[in-house]
Amino acid sequence: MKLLERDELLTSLQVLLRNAAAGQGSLLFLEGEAGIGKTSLLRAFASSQQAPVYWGACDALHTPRPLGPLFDIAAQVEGELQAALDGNVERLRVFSIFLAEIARPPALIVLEDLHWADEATLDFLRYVGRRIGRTHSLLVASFRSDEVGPSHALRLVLGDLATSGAKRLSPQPLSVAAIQELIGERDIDAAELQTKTGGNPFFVTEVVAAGGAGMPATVRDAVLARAGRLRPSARAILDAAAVAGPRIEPWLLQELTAAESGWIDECLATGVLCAQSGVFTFRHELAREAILDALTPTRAMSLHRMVLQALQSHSSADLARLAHHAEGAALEEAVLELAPAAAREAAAKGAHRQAAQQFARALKFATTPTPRRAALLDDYASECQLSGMVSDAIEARRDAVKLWQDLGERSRRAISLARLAHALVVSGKNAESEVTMREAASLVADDLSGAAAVVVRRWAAHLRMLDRDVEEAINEGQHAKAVAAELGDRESIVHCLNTIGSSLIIAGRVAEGCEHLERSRALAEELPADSWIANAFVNLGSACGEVYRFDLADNYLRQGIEFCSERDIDFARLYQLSWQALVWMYRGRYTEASGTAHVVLADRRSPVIARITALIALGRVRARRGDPGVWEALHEAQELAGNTGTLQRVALMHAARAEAAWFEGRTAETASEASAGVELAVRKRHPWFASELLFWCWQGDGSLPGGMPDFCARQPFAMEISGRWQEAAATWSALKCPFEAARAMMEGDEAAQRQALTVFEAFGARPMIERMRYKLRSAGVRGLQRGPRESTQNNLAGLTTKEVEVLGLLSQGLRNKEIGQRLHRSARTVDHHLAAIFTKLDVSTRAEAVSAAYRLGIIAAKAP
Amino acid sequence: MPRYLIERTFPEGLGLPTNAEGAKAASNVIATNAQEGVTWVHSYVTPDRKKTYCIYDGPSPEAIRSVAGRNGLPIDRISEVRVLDPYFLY
Repeated sequence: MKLLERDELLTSLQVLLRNAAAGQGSLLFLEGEAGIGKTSLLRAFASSQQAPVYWGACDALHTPRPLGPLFDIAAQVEGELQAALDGNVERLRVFSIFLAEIARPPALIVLEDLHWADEATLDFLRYVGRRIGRTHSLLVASFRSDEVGPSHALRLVLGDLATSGAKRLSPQPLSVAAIQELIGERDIDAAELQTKTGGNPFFVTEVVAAGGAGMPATVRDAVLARAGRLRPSARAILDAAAVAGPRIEPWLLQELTAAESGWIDECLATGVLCAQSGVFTFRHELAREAILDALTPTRAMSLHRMVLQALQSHSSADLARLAHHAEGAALEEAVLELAPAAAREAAAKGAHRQAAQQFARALKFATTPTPRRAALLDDYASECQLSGMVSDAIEARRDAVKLWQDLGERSRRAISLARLAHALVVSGKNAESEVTMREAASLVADDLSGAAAVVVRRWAAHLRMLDRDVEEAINEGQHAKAVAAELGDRESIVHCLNTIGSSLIIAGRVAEGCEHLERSRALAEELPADSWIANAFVNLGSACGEVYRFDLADNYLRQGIEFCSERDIDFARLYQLSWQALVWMYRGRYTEASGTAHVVLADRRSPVIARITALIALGRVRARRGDPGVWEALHEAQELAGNTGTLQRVALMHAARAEAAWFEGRTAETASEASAGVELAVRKRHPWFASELLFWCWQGDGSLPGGMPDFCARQPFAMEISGRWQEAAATWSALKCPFEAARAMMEGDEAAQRQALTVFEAFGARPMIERMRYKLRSAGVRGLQRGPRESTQNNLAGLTTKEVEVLGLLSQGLRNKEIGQRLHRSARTVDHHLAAIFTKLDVSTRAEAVSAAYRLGIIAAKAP
Repeated sequence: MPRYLIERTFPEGLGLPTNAEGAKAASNVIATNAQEGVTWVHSYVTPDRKKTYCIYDGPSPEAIRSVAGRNGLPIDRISEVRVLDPYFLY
């Protein structure tokens, strides 16, 4: 068929493919309404290429097969990919095999109809899209723009990949001139046809093929008008083909249409069906949909039944396809067997949303109150929770609880209740969760060594840990772990180790806690269970952060974020990013902290707990710099954290708000903010939260509600309160909290105060600079700069002479220690200078600082 | 979009000549600002050219700081501001 008005697009594709062959691979999104000619364009382009072409398509099934397009492509090559897909190989490994085997050598890869893609395929696209630049391939991904609304999962991928340089093209409607060329000698008005069809090429050609007798109002009418001219036997073939799917194996169509199969040729001859790389397809999916919709329900059902039988007799392994036809045929037993199997396959490939849909499909047929229905409800709830649909999970879990109760299944009901309690905590309903967990515990109380009791107790321990009742969490976790070990329940052991480890860290037994979590992670790797590996990283990072072990937290968060990014575990990745922001805030890396917080806040996948943490990091950075927008962030944090009522959110929020009020000189508010959290923190015996909140009470109005508890005595906040400023400053410095160290030195002698001022100046901490200068001047200290320090002539960035000197040495590749030796300063002072340089130049690495300095002319380029 | 007043100090005086060179420097600043959705509305400069008061529109204080860093411009203080017109009653 001749392609009209597509020369420009073909040229663009050609250029991209040539660049790819030269080593600059790329991803192109081809978008447009159905029938605009995306497939025709790609086929025309592909047929003119020397490079190998791989073709994968997503199917219009209600619940598509996970990684369907990848199976298509694997079937086109003999190699490792096929084996990896068939075998139980980790998803990430499959993706990297694809990159190495398919994308690295020059190739054109087409992924069609992504608006129908399953989750795993979208993850695949994201993975490959980020890395395609380093290959020799052009990856073209097509989708119907009118089917991808603002909340479609593909939108997120488009957004994620926009920054990786993905390009977008869209074919335009045909002009009147092109339509006239298609009409030829026939008696059709080209202008009218263009208005009617909007220049949609598929619509236009359908009308032309139907002979133009009366102008059909919709593309569906046009298709049916054309099909209406076929003889009954040929029409019967079309009906069977429409039910059989978007791509029909020739043997299948022959078997379905037995006596009439001789008429397949007529369908091909009239162009309604096409033979395309070994399968039959409709000329367009729109045509298939039109034929399918015109079938009577009974006819459709009997065709579905025939397709299912034929596929089963050929032992098809495509469970999603089998389940689809079983549902179409309304065969209860078949659906109940196939849909759960398809669900488990999808879940194993990480397509949890599809898994949930398959369980939902089975539930439509499991209507009687049987154990089977209850188990399906539980499975459905678990998959909903894994794909972020928490409210659906809660509803289904409640139904399961009720049904297990009606069935008199005590242990199953207890397990469902425990999982319900967890879902409730995730959605911030802590009080309701508490009641639910008590009910679960009461059901297993008489048999604490049973399998059900282990599950209930490990979740109970988990909730205690989240609520920072660490002693109880450790006890309960250890009991559950001992029983799990006897029963050989490995997932429960992984879970208990996680809970115990996190609790130990919070209780101050950091090394012991990290060791437990590391063991949990190692066991999870053996299982394997990605979500438990991610959970280990999450709790290592956030718990170490909560007890001010930022050195450990930073290391774990980096590893965890990398792990989760590669596997698209969004929940854990975003929560860890929010903690990374907080850790950077404490370490004085304000640019990175606020940048990361903005990333979390801009992503609508961010769970509430990540938003709270990011808002606190952003609010504190703004407050410490004296920037506007502090309360905008901290009011939202208050609203979100207040709802949870749980210590780990509430304490961080109140401390941040107390500090911000203090910078603004509103001391009464400082005290009231802090005291709002003190009681809870003391009751939970959390040394860090309790001592910080008491510190702000004291800073606010000199009060210490309830006195300083014994378990806080060794905290640096307590040292500051009791005037032990040197000890406090040393502790803060050792913890890598330069801001807090300087705050402690502010209460020291003049030398310490001058040093504090230097640190605050290095961080651009304006409220503290003003406070410190006022304090020094009031004490009669002279010789303080009124404004920013002197800087060199051509230095716009506001760097001090010393900082320029440090930059000069940095550009020679010297280490901090060497720079310190040259300048007769300690390595720590050099650290402070570097932090100031990074802040002022808005960079985050030494190399970036040097290149920014050259660019801005702060240091002269070296002579060659 | 919030509006900000940014105070800057140039101890040696602001070096932005009113010629082609200065115009180019200003257009570089504008191009960098655009990367973060920041707009430089206008500035007031003291006669000794050591202090400037700049009116900017931008999505956040962090965006203002980020482009200032890239443009090599110092920041003393950022305040969020709104217009108050002395003739608002008329």
